[in-house]
Order: sequence, then structure tokens, then C-alpha cells
Amino acid sequence: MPDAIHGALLTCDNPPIKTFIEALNDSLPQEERFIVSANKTLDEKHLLIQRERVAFVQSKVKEFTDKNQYSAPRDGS
Amino acid sequence: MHEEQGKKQTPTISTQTGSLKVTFFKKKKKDEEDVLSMSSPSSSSSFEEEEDEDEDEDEEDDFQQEEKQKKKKKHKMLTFTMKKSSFAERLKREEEEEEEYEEYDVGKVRKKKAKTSKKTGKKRKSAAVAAKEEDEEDSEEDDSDEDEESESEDEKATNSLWEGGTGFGENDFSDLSLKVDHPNRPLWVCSDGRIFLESFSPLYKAAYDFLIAVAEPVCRPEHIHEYVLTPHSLYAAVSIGLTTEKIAEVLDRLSKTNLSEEVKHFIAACTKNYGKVKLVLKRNKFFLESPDAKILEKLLQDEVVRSARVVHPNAGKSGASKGMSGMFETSFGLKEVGAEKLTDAIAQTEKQQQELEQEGDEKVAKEKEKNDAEEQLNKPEYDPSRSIHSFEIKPLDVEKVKQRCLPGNLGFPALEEYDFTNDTVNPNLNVRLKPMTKIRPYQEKSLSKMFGNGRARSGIIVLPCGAGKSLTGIAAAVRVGKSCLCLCTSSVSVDQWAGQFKLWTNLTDREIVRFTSQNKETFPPNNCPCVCVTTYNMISAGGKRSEASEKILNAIRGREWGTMLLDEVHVVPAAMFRKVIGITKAHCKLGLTATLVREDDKVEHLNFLIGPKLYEANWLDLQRDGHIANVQCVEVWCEMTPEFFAKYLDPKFSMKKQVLYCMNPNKFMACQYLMTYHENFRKDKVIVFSDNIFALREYATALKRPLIYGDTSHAERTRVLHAFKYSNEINTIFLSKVGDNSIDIPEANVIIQISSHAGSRRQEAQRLGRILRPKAATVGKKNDSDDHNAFFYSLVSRDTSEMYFSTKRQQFLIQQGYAFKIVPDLIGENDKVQLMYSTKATQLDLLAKTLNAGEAEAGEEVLDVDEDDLEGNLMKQKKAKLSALAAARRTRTVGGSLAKLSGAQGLTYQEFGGQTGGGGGGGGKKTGFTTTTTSKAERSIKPKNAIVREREAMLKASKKKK
Repeated sequence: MPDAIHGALLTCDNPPIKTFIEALNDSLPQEERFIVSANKTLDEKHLLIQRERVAFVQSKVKEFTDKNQYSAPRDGS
Repeated sequence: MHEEQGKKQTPTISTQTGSLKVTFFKKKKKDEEDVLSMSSPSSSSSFEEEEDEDEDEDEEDDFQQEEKQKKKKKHKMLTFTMKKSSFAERLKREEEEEEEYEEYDVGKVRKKKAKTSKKTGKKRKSAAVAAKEEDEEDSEEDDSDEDEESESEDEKATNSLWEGGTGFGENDFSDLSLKVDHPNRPLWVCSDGRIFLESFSPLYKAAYDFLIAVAEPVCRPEHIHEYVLTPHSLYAAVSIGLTTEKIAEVLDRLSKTNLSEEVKHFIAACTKNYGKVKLVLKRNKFFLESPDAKILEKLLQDEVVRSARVVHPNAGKSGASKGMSGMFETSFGLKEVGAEKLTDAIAQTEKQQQELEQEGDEKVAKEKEKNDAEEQLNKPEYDPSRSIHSFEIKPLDVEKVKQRCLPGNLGFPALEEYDFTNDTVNPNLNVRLKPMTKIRPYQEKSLSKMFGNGRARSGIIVLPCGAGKSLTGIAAAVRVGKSCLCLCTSSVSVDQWAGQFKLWTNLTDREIVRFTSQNKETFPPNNCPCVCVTTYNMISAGGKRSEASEKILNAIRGREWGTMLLDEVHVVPAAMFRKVIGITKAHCKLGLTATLVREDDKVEHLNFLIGPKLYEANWLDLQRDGHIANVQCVEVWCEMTPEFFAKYLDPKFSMKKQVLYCMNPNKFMACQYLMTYHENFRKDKVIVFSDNIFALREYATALKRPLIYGDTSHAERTRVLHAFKYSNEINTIFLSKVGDNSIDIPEANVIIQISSHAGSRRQEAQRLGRILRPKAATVGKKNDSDDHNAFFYSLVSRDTSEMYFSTKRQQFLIQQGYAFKIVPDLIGENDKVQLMYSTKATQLDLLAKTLNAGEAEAGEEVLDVDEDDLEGNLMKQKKAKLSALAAARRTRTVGGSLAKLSGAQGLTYQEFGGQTGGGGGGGGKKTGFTTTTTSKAERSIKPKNAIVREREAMLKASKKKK
């Protein structure tokens, strides 16, 4: 009988971000990992993750992209 | 860029498409809001004015303006837009008509912008107040920093437009009233000291010259410039002879609104002390001068100053009987020709504007008059309406007095002036510019500020790279006509400066003395004036020096120098400056630089160490007039491949992050693509820059092009550069950091930058400077703004910290008005297959190679130990200061490569007969200094001892000879 797992489908607009999320997943201890799908079953832009962890992933991705973004200091010098 | 990434997820599988749409639309709304918040003033204006007619266009405008990113703020927004542009694909999928995403064409956007400004123009005529607001907003939209401030404040406070506020935040100036004839006036002067200049005004040129004298430029894009009044800028203004009243008066005359009391107070407060005291050297005596006797009295109450005063017995007696004011010598003040010209120019242009329709002949006559005035600049003129009080001080105490006068002590910083025409003690240097030497208008302008009252002032002149900084310096030295000391940053530029002196003037090798670690030319006898070109390091290096160096140093110390030219002043640390200035007796110091920015913001010191900024050229104006090349700046985004990105994220390879994003196969393909395009289709000369040595070597070997880096021998360098300059075979060279400023390659007109030194704004500007020199065909020709003849590509790996650095690096250029065009998808699928590393297999090979690269190799290049090379040494000092753990690891690797680079790995130091013997009294060091390098780690630390360093340099030199 097939297993049915509840999950959220994550669409990444480019492969690196998927790589990032996978790396994030791998960096966590086994019981905290959130990716439901086995990687190979989906294409390079999609991931299936646990629904309750969506916010967590979101915040992590935001954190990561913010880090790569420069905003000029206020005094401008 | 994927800030929204998370939000794009769809909650469940079942409702996938539906919810995707929902989130998307929500998202889109949020985007609009973002845009609003970013450019609140502009969009709010359009809401007020144009809501009914073109709301759509409004939005479109916003997007376009973002892409235009002329400004800093805009640039910041850009990152947002681009985030959205990854979105663009999705939009297409949704079959929406979002064309604006496709419009990366800067030209189009420009036209659009022009249209908008025209629109504003019309409105200005129709309704005064509305127009004023609009303009205010227009200018604010162009400004950068402060706006960001208000913007973030907007976000917090509830005065954001969409939350029911005005949307102006702190920038609500609607209570200012306009003057009746405001359309004719080019300035907006805000009460917080910010000034906005309309560059399309007929008065622009004159107003610009004035503003650059009194205010600091913040951001100078095409249409509206932002300036800000700062204490330093006002200090500079005063020092070139403008008075408090004059500044306020002219500002008021140019401003569309009445000058607010706050601004007037600010000007008065800043100019109260500054510039009131001058330290003048005339007839070889030092005088403290001031137009106000009371200030001198105040100064005399200070112990240090009083003791430094030269009291003539006679004068003292009579002075005492007459009272305080009689204590000073009184003479008539000098005419400030330079300053008068500034203010006159404005009046003149105004007049010309009116007379333009009437008569043409008069104009010619006027121009003639103006030229006459310029010729007279050299002679000091006395202005009988102003009187100057002065007293003499002892030459020995000059430094002390100067120190006392600085803010913090007495608060009357003394300006230094040199009355060179009345200097009879120092012999004149027989030097003239060659007749064929043409001084460009902006060079003339900067010189006229320097010699504004017939004396030579100390100060800094800021001109873009390639705009003829050296000629300006040389012209100044020629005008003073005394001995000249010229300081540069490296031995290569010493040669260049010496060459420039020979090129532009009638000086020969006899009068030009070069002093570097390798090249120690002898001085002419003491009474003969000369030009000495040397490096900062040679003058300021501590410790024991070789006999030859010591001799020359003594000669430098023993002489009085008329002018001191300081090349690239921005790189020199303040401590080194003090030392240099302490050692040399120079009457007039002129600093030259292209980029008055430093990551550590130590620029402020220069104001007091050298002098105020005398002139700063506007890059875009020079570009328009064809004095510098018209550069198209492009930032190419290269997506990381999944494999490389996985390794990038892997904490195991954290030391290799840099090399990973440099070696990104997509970046490699972009580089190859651009290189072949420019080589084959445009016949351009291309320089590829990489700070990462491993990447540099890989790229160069894979693409079969020559490369130059720190390790390349001098002969090889010359050969490659020669081939690059004159042969059609070699059209691309790969350069490491060594090419940043010292190598002069006027032929190159394309730069591809694959890696860079973190977020250094200066490096970016310096690199751009490599291609700024105008190409022969276009010199003096007016440039069409869309006709680019030079290209600056910066390849950036997406989603890596390179994005952060890249944006940071661009800030300086953006403030100068440059626009960076962003290209996310450079290579089409069809082209891709023809490029290297386009297949997975080759990419994986490359990855393996990259990961196997030695740590030392993979790091950023560490330049050779070059005693002359200031930057190299500074870099090393900086490196040494790295945090504890990283430092330990880092220095070891640095050491490894250092030893390798210098070719001295495992070598034994040996004494070289006679040459260094005179190292002098060094105790034990004098006898045969033979130390074997015990370990790499030990070698890694740069020997502090000057002798050891010189020995090393010599070792290298002798190795090269063999």
C-alpha cells in the first residue's frame, strides 16, 4: 500500500536555492530534517517539505539572501 | 535575491496551481508597495499629480527608474527589482504583459526620464506651488542617502503614503515659499544643508563651479545633483577666499527658495573660525595673517603662539604704546581673483543669458576679457578695501603653532599659503611647459583655485583617473617654479611620473632625480633646484637605511621644496603622512587623487594634513566633453551551478568560498563569451582582472591568453604588455591585482572583472580608471551619451556573498553618476554549447580541480614584498590584523606563498659585498648576516628591519639578472 505523506510543494526559481535548502536540510540532525521527498524523484526546481516547517525554511532563505545584499550606510560615505 | 523565495511556496499539493496564483498576486501587490516605499517621494508625487491619467505608466516608470539605477538609492532598489526579475520568467509563464522587465536598455529609460523632466518643466510654469513640490520631489528622488534614511523612517513611522501620511517624512519642505522667478534659478537649498542642483539649467556650469567650492558632492547623476554643506567643505570654501557673506549671498541668489535661517547660521558658524588665519611664507619668513586683528590677539594669548612670535625690539616698544592693534603689521589684503571669478561667473552667465538674443559681438569681447584676467592670475594683487594683519613667527616653531591652531586646541586651523613670487632664497627652477602642452579647461580651473590670489595654496585636487592628474600636478609645479618633490605609491609610478615630467616640460634627466629602492640617482649640488620623484615608503620607512638611501634622505631633508606633489593621497595612512610632512620642508602641498574614499574613512585627516579640497571634477561632465571615455558599466549575473553551490554552502570548504564562486562554470562561460565577442566583433583590447590567482591562472590557460601577476618577471611583463599594445595577435590579457593602478595600458577599452578584493570601492574605481583614458579617435569630441566606447563588465556569481561585495563596490561610481546595467542572462542556449565547461562532465572536472587547489593558491593574491609598494605593505598589515584563529591559519598560508613568490623559499641570506655594508652601526647585524629560513611560518612575517628588506630586494634583483 502506498504511503501518503502530507507536505508542501516548494518551487525554487533557480537550482542554487534548491541546493541551499538541501544543504540546510542536511545540516540539521536527522529528526529535524524537513524534506519529505527523496531528491531524485522531483525535478531541479521542486522540493516537497513538511508543511509545518515552511515558515522556518522561509526565514532561513530570507536570512541567506539578505546576507548577500548590500544596502548603503545611511551617511553615504 | 530570493527573498521572496519562501513566500512562493505553495501550501499544499492539492491546490497547487490555484494557490500559486493567489500567492503570486499577493506578492505582486507587495512588490508595488515595496517600490512605493523605496521611492516614496517620486511615486507620491505622481499619485498627486497624475493619478487619474497614467497610473499604469506610473508603475512602469518606477520599474524603469529602478532599472536605470543611476543613483545609489536606485541601485539599492535594483537588487529588489532583480529579485523580481527572477520572477519575470514566472510572469511570462502567467502570460502577463509585463514588458518593463525586459527593458534593460538604458537608453530607452533615459529618454523616458527626459520626458518626465520635461513634464515637470511644464508643470512648473502652470502652477507655482504644485511645481515646486514636484520639483522638490524630483530632486529628492535623485538624492540618495538622506532619502534612504527617510525611507526607512517612513517604513517605521506612519507618515508613509499608504498609511495615510504625507509620504515625505523628514523631507517635507512644502512650507518653503518659492521666489517669483524660480524657474531661472538652478538650486534647491534645504534647511538641513542639502543642496540640489538642476544640471539642465543654463546656469549649471557656473553654479557647479560655485557649489563644488562650498559643498561636498554626494551624488551626481545626470539631471539632478545632490550636494551637502559640511564644515569641511565650508572650510575649503573659505580657504579659497570666499567670505561668509558671499557664500550666503550667492546661494540665496541661485536658490529657488529663500535661504532659510538655519542654513545661514550653519554657514556663519562653520566659517567663523575657519580660514581666518593664514600661515604665509613670504620673503622666507613665516607670518600668521588674519583680516581680523582680534583673532590674532586671541591667538597671542596662547602660550605656545606667543613664545613662537618673533618680536622686533623696535616694533615691540611702539606697539605697546599704541595698544593691541598696533602690535601687528598691517597691509592691504590680497585680491581673491579666483573667488571673485567664481561669483562673477554666475553674474556673467546670468547677464549673458539676457544678452544672448541681443548681441553676439559683445560676448566675444567678454571672453577676451576673461582670458586677460586669467593671465593676470600669477601676480598677487592688492585690494585696498581689505586690510590684513600679521605677525611673524619663528620658523622652528611653525609646526607647533600649526598644531595649536587646529580645532580642538584653539580652533583656528591655519591655512598655508606660499608667496612664491617673493621667495628670493630658494632658487628658481628653470622649467616651462612645452608649447604643445594643452591644459584642459577643468585643469585650468583647478589650478586657478590653487593660485587664486597669486600665492600657492596647499590642498587636494580630485580628478578621475585618466583625466590628466599628472599634468595638473606638473602644471602647478611649473607655475611655482621651485624645486619639486613628487611622492608616489610605487616604483612603477615613479618612473611614470618622471616620464611625464620629461614629456610635458623642458626638464631633462639632469634635473629629475628618481629615488627608489632600486634606483638611487644622485642629487645635483645644493644650490641647483631639481625635481625629485620618490615613493612614500622610501621617505617614511623607519629603521636603519642603507648608506645611499641615507645620503639622499639627508639631501631631501636639507632642502626646501617649493611644491610637494602627493599622488594618490587617499591611500596613505595618516601616520605616514605626518612623518613625510615632518621630514620634508615643503611650502606648498598638492594632493592628487581620483577617489577620495576610504573604507576606513580616514580621509578627513587629509583636510588638515594637506589642506582643503580645492577642486573636484564631475565625471559625467568630463565624459560628455570627451575628456574621459564613455564607459558602459555592466554587471553580469552568473548563476551558480548546483554542484558548485553545494560546495559553496558546505562548511568544510568555507576557506574556498572565494575560489568557488570565481571558478563558477557559468562565470567562466560568460567571460569566454564576452572576450570572444569583443575580440572578434568589436576588435577591442580586453583586460581580464582577477584577484584570485588560481582562478586567474585557470582562466588564462584554458582560454590560452597571457597573464601577468605578482610572480611574473619584469621582462615577461614588458614583453606581454608590449605585445598587447602593438600586436593584433594578443588582444586579451589577464591581470591580477598588480594591474590595478600601476600598469598604464591606454589601449585597453574593455575590462572583465572575474574576482575582486571584497568590497573595496577604490579598487573598482581604479580598475575603471584603466579604461577611462580617452581613445585617440575621440579626444575632445563631444560624446553622445549612448555611444559607448569602453566597457566595464563585472561578473558576479548569484546567491553568493559576491553579490554583496559587488553592490558595495559600485557605490562610489554610482555616486559619480555611473549607471550599472544588470544582465542576468547573458548567454543564450544556442551559444552556450560552443563554450567551454558547458557540459556537466567538464564542470565536474573543473570542480575537482578547484577543490584540489592548494589553499595558498586558492586565496587572494598577496603581492610581492616591494619596499616601494605602499599598497602591498598596507595589505599585509591589514592581513596581519585578522582575527585570532583565522589569522593564524591565514598567515601561514600567506607565508607559504610569500616565500614562493619572492623566489626565496629555503634560500640562505648572504652578505653582498660592500653594497649594504654601510647599513651603519647596526651592531651585530653588521657582521655577516646569515640566517637560514627555518620554517615557512617564520618567513611569513615581513622582516621589520629595513636592511633585511633591502637585502631581499637586492637578492631578487640579482636573481633576475642571472
